[in-house]
Amino acid sequence: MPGRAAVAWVGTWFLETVSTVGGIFALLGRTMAAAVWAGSPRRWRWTREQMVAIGVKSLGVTGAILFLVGMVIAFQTAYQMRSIGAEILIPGLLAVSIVRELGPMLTALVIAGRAGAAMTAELGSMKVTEQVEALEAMSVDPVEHLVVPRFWASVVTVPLLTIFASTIGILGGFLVCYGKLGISPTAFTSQVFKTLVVGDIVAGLAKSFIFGMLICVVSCYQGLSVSGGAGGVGRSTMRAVVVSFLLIILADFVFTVLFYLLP
Amino acid sequence: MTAAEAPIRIRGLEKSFSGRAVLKGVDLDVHKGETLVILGRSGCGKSVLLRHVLGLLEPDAGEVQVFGERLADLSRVRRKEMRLKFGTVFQNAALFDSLSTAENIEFGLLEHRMMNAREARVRAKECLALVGLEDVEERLPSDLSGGMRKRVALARAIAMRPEVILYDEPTTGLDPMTSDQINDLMVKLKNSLGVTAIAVTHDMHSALKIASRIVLMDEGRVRCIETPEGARRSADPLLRQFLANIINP
Repeated sequence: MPGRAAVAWVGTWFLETVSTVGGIFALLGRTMAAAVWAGSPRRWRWTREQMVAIGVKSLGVTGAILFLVGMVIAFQTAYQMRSIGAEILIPGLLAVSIVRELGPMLTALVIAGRAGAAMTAELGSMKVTEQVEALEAMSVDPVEHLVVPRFWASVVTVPLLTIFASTIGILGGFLVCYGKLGISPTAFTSQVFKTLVVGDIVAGLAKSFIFGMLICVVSCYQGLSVSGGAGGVGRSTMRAVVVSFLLIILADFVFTVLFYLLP
Repeated sequence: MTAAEAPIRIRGLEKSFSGRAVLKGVDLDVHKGETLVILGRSGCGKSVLLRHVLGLLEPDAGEVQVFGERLADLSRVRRKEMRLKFGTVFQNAALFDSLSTAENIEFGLLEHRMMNAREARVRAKECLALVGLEDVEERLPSDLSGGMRKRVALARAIAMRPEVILYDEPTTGLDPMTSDQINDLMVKLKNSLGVTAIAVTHDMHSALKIASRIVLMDEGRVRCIETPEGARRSADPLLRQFLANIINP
């Protein structure tokens, strides 16, 4: 009976989705509580190691991507603006779109694909090799020891990486404006600061803070939920990236609507 | 029998996974100072039983009493305190692969603020010496052989001076000579530290060497309990099969 099978499939999918979302939010709650009230006495050491893994080692790739994106935006807008003789507006458009939207989102997507996937794979491997169980057997809470340092590292480094990558993105756009459109450095800087307001920077950083939180919790949840050996680690890693991407874009949409509605 | 005489008591323990009954009413007492070996075929519920003793799994029915207290009645904090009385050696050693050998052993001591870093390093070296390892403090688990990893896992298990040590398949995956070294080490630790131990295994040779008593599990139940001498003379067909595997491996 294909109809019955389809209903069963939809039902199973729905229950699994509800269970995953519930699990992610439950882990977020436990992590936030542990991040404030508990944690390993050596949490700073673990956090510092994670900051290097998530932040320092992602500098190159996020910088390179935003640099290219900045150049692409400059070229694309130049193509449109030239027809109405408004090339001078390009620096402002570039800065706002990068600081408010593309910088936070692209940085988060890169971190989700790079560091988030690594988090899931690492925790998943620990789960299948009984290292997570060994922590519990030693009376060490895996959330306090494994998730909290990654949480702090994510919520600190993702906004910092966003600032870095956005700056590089604007620099990429500047090179196009200066080299191809003849906009002087002074005019470029003046247009950027005239267009960009504090609210744009705050909005971009607020988003990146939330994205950092989402990447960490989704990736750690998937890692700690691994079952079934190496194949399970692979499946959970893929799921972590897909769910992180979806939640980042969903959160970005919610933020954009909120900022639009707010006075 | 009092809690002092039997620090671990299991009554009517039942557990199912996805509708499949793994434990079907297990009753067992673990006496103070003994090494109780739980023997059985793969999938008969031995490791599940061990995880119930640690409170890592919740029973569907029945209860586990540890040092006179029902695990089900303990708060999360109290349960964590209780686990500090246990040291566990996992089947695949379960060493933290991002930490060095010494850091693995010091881990619990530092996490629970039992010692400062210098004292913990001294304790780590003592424990490594006790399991016959030297000059491996800075090596990562990935640089150690299977037998060495098991020894480090033993050293980690005894570092916090537990009252009970749990061994989950301590000789699985090791060659016969290394298995024998691990067996000798378990006997040595029992004699020198006087700890109570529960070892889960399907290795009859190991069971006969280390056990004070052997519990044979089958189909989620305790089939029989014997001393090593009693097990050698037993007429139980399943126990005879395990013995036959030693004689004709």
